[in-house]
Amino acid sequence: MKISFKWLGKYIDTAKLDPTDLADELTFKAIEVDEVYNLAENMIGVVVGKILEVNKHPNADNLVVCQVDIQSEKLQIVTAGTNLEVGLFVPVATVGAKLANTPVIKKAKLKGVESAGMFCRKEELGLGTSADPLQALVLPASAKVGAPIAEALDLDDIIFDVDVLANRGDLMGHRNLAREIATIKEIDFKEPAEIDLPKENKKLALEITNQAPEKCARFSALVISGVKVEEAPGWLKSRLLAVGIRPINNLVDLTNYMMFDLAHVFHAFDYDKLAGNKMNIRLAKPGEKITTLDKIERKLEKDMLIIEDAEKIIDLPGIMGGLNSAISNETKNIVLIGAADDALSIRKTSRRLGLRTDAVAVIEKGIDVEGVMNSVIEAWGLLKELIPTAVLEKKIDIYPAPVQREPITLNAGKVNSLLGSEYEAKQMSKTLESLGCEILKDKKEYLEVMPPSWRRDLKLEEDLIEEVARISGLNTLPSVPIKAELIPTKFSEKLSLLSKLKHLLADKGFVEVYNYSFMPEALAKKVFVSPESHIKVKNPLSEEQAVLRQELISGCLNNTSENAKRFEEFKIFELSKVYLPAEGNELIEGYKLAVVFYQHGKTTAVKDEPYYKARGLADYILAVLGIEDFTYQPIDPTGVACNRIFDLQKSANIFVDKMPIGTLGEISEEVKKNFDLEGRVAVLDLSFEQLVKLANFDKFFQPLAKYPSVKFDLAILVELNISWQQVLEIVQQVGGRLLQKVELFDIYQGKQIPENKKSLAFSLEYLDPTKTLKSEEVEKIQNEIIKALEKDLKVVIR
Amino acid sequence: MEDKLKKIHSELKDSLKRIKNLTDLENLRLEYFGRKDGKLTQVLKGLKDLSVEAKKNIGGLANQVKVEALAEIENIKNNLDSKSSKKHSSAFDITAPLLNLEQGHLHPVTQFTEEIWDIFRSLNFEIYETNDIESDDNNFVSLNMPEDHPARDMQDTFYLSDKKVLKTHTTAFQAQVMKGKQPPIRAINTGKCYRRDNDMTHTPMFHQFDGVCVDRGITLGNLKYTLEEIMKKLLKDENLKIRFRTSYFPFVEPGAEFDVSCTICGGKGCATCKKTGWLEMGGCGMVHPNILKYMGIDSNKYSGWAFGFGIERPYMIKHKISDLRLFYQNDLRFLKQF
Repeated sequence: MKISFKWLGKYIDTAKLDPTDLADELTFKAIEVDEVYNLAENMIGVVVGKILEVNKHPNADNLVVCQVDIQSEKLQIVTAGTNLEVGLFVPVATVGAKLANTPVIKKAKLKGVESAGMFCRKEELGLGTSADPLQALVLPASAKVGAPIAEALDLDDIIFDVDVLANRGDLMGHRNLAREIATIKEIDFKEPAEIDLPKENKKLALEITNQAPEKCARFSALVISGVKVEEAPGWLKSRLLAVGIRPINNLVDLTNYMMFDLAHVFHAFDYDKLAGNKMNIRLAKPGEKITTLDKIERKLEKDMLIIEDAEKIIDLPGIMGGLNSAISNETKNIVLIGAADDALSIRKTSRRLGLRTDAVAVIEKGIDVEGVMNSVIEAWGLLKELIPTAVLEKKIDIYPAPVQREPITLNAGKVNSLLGSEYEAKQMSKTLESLGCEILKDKKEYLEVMPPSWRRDLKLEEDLIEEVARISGLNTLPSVPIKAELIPTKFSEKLSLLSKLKHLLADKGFVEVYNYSFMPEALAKKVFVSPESHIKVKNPLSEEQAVLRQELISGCLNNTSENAKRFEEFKIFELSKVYLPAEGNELIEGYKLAVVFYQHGKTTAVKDEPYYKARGLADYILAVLGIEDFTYQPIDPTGVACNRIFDLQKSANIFVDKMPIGTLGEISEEVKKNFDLEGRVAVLDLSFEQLVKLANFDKFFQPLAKYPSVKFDLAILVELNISWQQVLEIVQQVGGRLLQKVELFDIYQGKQIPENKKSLAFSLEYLDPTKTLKSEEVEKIQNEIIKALEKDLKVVIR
Repeated sequence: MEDKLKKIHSELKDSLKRIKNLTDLENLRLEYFGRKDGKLTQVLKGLKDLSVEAKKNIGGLANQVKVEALAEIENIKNNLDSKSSKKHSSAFDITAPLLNLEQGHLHPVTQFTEEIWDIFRSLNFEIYETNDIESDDNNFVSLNMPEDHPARDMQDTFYLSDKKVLKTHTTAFQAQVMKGKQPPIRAINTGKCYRRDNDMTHTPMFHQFDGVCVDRGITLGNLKYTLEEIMKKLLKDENLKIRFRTSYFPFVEPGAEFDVSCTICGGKGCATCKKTGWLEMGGCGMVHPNILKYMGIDSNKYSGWAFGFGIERPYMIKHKISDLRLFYQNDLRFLKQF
């Protein structure tokens, strides 16, 4: 919203205020000022000129050559303008002038004739759009020849572009902003004079009913005869132009001016266009229509507020008037109204119709209900000034449930205890009074304060404390450490583990990624998960936010695909949340861990299979978390948990007891293709929620062995279909209590090994905690193991 | 003079016998031949004051001592050099980096979040990371924003159902922290937030952190102190200042926006702070009495403050990152820089 410095001058003495400093101070204490500028900046070098001669151009039919008096000299100007006549006063941009959206004015020859300047249209002066693009702006004959145009138009004005906070509807008008400035600067505020309404003439009848009092708390109207629609006076137009409003005629300009002065909303109906001398406020029925002033027919929905006369809908209150009841040049009698429409209802209607107006901006922040009638009376005051022939016919005020304002008790002690300040009650009462509050009781310890009707945001003691704090200056408050009881705080085990696991991975060379929690349905399809099973976002910005992710793998594979364009080998992880629908419309969320190992090219050695990287990491993570008794089991292709992400030959499910906690392995060719990936890609997918439940950091001391252990290495040849797990089970069973540890250190297939066989190399460690083992004892067990392997698994010892 | 020269020379010889390494040798050389105050240098400098006759006599000797002494030093040096084994007997090369222990990287948001946790744990605050899917109640209603409150417009929300939203701000944790509990309450919440926005400075998902402190006698002055101290630590700028601008958030009263002095230019004005010398950080204020009441806390007995702001923005300022979207593109060239 734009605030005019000249306009503020109606209420406060602006002469001594420095606009830039004031803008800063307002930003801290009342309202954010985005920009401060002088309207005259767009009009430098433009002066009032009087046309002395208009001659045809010798070489062009569409141009004329004018002689112009600008007092200091006479200029010859060539123009395409069509409205230039001898004796007219026009804005002349002299050589060197800088205008909005126009290059610097220079001397030029137009079709062979010298021209030393330009006549300005509204556009060049930043004053809106001309009705006819070939017409120069015509100034009143009272303009002083040679005067700067900004001065002549009363536009040498400073503008503040401000953002009004959502709870400060009162600041949508100049009057209350002036009051804020008066309070901040401790200067006088000129209260407006009260206006006496004349006796009603009662020649024109009007009946108003309100069938929607919950959506329109107050409706005040004056029926006025004897009006004459014409151009508004220069000062009024200047004020509107300064705040960016296009002047139209005296009545429309009056309602706009009053709106930006008082932060109330007005409308003028043509009385003679109202059927049956009736106005009724009600809610629209679906399917009803109105053509608004902008000549657009709008289809109304249920619950939208409208005004009708005896025959038709005539107004969309608070948003835009109806075309069928609008003021025209022939209008003689009017109904001037002000209303307190419901902020919420108007905001909703405005949104639903896609029609946002200045009035909506004012209403949605809340209207001063108590002040509606007075504001209409003030508007009458100005109208009578503009149109002295106007006669008040009738006054109507529908106000079924008057607002009951309550006084607020403000304890000086509470102010200081909340702010950490040392303000005195006297200082507080001065500030509050200056803001328009009435001090009902002024005691040493407390004040009883009646907030003004327009400050609907002041309801609680804390609201008043904010007034005191901001006007006194939030930045003058002392900065003080908290004094408190030190009670040990909890740090959730989950967050602690989350952090631990992330650090563990980063320490091992993994790079953490963050993907969005939502994803397009197409991404789910790439990992063969049905988009239907996902939680849907009701109002996504685009397909990218269609559903909430159920797994982290697809996102990480996306990242892998992108990074594979630049890196030969990398490993990334994401430890974050997934989201799932649950029973009874519940939506649940939980942490998962996904790790991707990417490696460009092919590998041949069994040991280098990417599966083992994922497996090694899983073993490591589980060991660090103190989780034991885990097994890796082949994925059952017919099982429910089976998905098509993994290559079933090279992947496994991880179980702790019978609880599945994750999956790992190489991804399938199909998925690789979907992500446009070549090379080898392994994934580890773990449920972090399960890890948190299973993690066990209890450690108990085991006595250190007093006797040495004995180590043997063994290499065996087995059929390809025999798993290490099968070998291990036999070894452990036969090895018994003396076999402390079995460690596989190589799987080999290739040269020197028969086809269809693989070599497994592992070490065995024996220990007797009670005595030194004799070699015969160990050899005996070792032989038994070999025998069992040969018998059960047809193993050949190498 | 002659005696003096001989004495210096014999001292030097004695010292040379005790030299075990090159460093000591160099120090010894400087002791005798240092350009300013070397023992021999000074004697040699003194020659110019002697008579022509004396110069002839001593000059020869002096030069002889100089040449001999330098040769002796050089000799010892060669001996020591051969001991220090600069000879290459194998392909071994200490300058060759043959084992590459790959460095991992935590995402910038994780790094900054954990810094925030550390600072607040040191201040005796509890750490929360609440759910991303929040009820409309927790996200709005309990924070003094009933349905259709205009302030909801500032936070364009992703809806999952009529009653469930993706949380629009970490402030949504206040219900969880305060409801049914009694002060002292000191807690922060970090985590993901979601708003329907997507451009250079907005991503539909981003991270925030919120703090709340409710106890007896908590003041706005306490908030100012705490914010200033934590921002100093987070942005690693001990001279950092903060300032409050009056503002409106339905969940605080009095409410303010807070700025920090620009850490790039130190408040002088630069492109990052748009020449203002200040950076906008977030919102803050005293917990609204309606909220305390809603949570079952007596606002006559207790008061509290709350604040909230983004995680990416201060990180971007600190590390001069120009585009927020980089955080979620997961380009390793970006992630490996932090």
